[in-house]
Amino acid sequence: MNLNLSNFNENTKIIKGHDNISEVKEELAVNGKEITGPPKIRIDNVKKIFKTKNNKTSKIEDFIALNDVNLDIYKGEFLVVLGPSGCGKSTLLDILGGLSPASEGEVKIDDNVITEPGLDRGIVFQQYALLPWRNALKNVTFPLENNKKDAESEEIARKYLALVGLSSFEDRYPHELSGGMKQRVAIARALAIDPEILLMDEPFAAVDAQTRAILQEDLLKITENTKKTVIFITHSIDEAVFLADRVAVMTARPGTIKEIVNIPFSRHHRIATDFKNNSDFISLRRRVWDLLKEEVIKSQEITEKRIKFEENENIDGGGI
Amino acid sequence: MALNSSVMGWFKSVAHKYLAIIVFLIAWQIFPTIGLVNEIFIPTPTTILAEIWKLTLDGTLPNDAVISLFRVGVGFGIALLVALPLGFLLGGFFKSFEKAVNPLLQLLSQANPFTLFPIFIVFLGIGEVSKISIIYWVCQWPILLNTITGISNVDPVLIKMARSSGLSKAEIFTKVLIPASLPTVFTGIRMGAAFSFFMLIGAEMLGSSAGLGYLIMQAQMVMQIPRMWAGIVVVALIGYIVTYSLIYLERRGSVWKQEV
Repeated sequence: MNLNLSNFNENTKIIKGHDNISEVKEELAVNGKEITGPPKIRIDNVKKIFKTKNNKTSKIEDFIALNDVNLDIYKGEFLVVLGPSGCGKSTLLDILGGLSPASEGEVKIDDNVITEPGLDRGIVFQQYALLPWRNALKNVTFPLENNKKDAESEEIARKYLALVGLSSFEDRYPHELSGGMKQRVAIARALAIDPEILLMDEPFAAVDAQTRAILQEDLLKITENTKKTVIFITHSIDEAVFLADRVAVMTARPGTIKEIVNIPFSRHHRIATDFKNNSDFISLRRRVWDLLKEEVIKSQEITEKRIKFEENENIDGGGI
Repeated sequence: MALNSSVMGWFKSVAHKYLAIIVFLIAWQIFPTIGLVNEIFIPTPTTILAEIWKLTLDGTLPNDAVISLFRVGVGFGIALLVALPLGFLLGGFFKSFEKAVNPLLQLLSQANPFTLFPIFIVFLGIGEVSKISIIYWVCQWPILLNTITGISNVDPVLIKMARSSGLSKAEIFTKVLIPASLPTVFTGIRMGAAFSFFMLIGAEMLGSSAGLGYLIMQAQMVMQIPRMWAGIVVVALIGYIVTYSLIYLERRGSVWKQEV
């Protein structure tokens, strides 16, 4: 696959409006995704402001976490939101999950504005969020109990535990499971409500590198088999390029979408070949890093003003 | 052979666990006997046991123990009934109100209850009510404050998860907040139980005509030293039994907890 790398230094565009749908359809067709109909999720000029207290002046100040976020996500797509730490990625996911309202703008799923959490969206959190007094099976049945009988819930839970490869661990309590297993239980729980959309907030950030690689592959297979629309948040470029159909790169705070990078390889290709060691992967990773680099530097300056980056060249992408 | 060795193993582990207590009791038995300490003031354990047996047979100990346990039971019971729901409400539903009153609660909980007891007597008389009230007063604080802490410290991501699973506020309360806070709440209950026994004996010593504290104080005043020791040992035993029953209950309720 010959990538056009000539636009490396092209001035990056801040996404102000929505995509040209036909263009996106063409792009995604390369990934083996057939797009039918309008976007599944439409994020429209979303802005999020937190009120914070300034410690010095003890005045209430506006803290703009997200500004003018526009993003379309299509049915069945695996979209990764990539950004420097503190850019508001998790805030965006909270808004999508209906856990926190947008200050301005709106998010629509199939033309319905999101106002509260719903069972059409399953969320996987970075910190697993398992209930320590329930075993694996009972953790997965947790969101089902309101609407279904116990036996039925357990049957569904067993099915999804099997899907994530934890059939023989259903009696284990969270403290008896490894980090990777805990996250598998959490994924099974999110899938158990059979949501159309899976929202994942840096789910693999807390597990070790080897486990992460396996979890990533399994996640790609599971989402492909179950035809979920996935929004996956991460700060890892490797993870983004490996998992995504498209990568939405965010700017430093106030976060907005800087550019969307298409990953023109099918999921099958990414799993079946040694994609992570492939030159295509490496050039894509480099492209994404070039987009992200200045945002990372900016966000560092925001959080720690004392540090000066005198030689930006030294922080080039080679070493990541 | 295998049976023998397992019995030996059991014996060894028990001996190891209680070695210090056994040595202490043996020393206690020997020192007064050989005259190293004055037997009149510190009688041997066997003398004390004989005294306990005697006082049990003539009905003095059971009578006083029942009176004392009644006071503790009622005081502690009211504290549970008041402090647990109050703590859950303050910690779970009225966060800003809780923040506002927390300093006051901390202050009240720090007031030395022995200095407060005369005030309780002034208002409630010297009868049962003042004693039960002061016991209630003392053991409500650890229960209330620990319940508030337990509820407030529940991992927010669990609440987020429950909300995204479509649970209502009431369901989040019963299915997430209460079980998650239970370990902290239980610590408060155990502290409350211990405090209630401290206060019971104090109150009975300060103003009472029955109960184990009274028995000890009375025996001391008329120099019935073995009788005094019998009272002390019984109080210690009851405290030990109560604490360990609560720990047992706590362990059974939280099998999921990681062994520390």
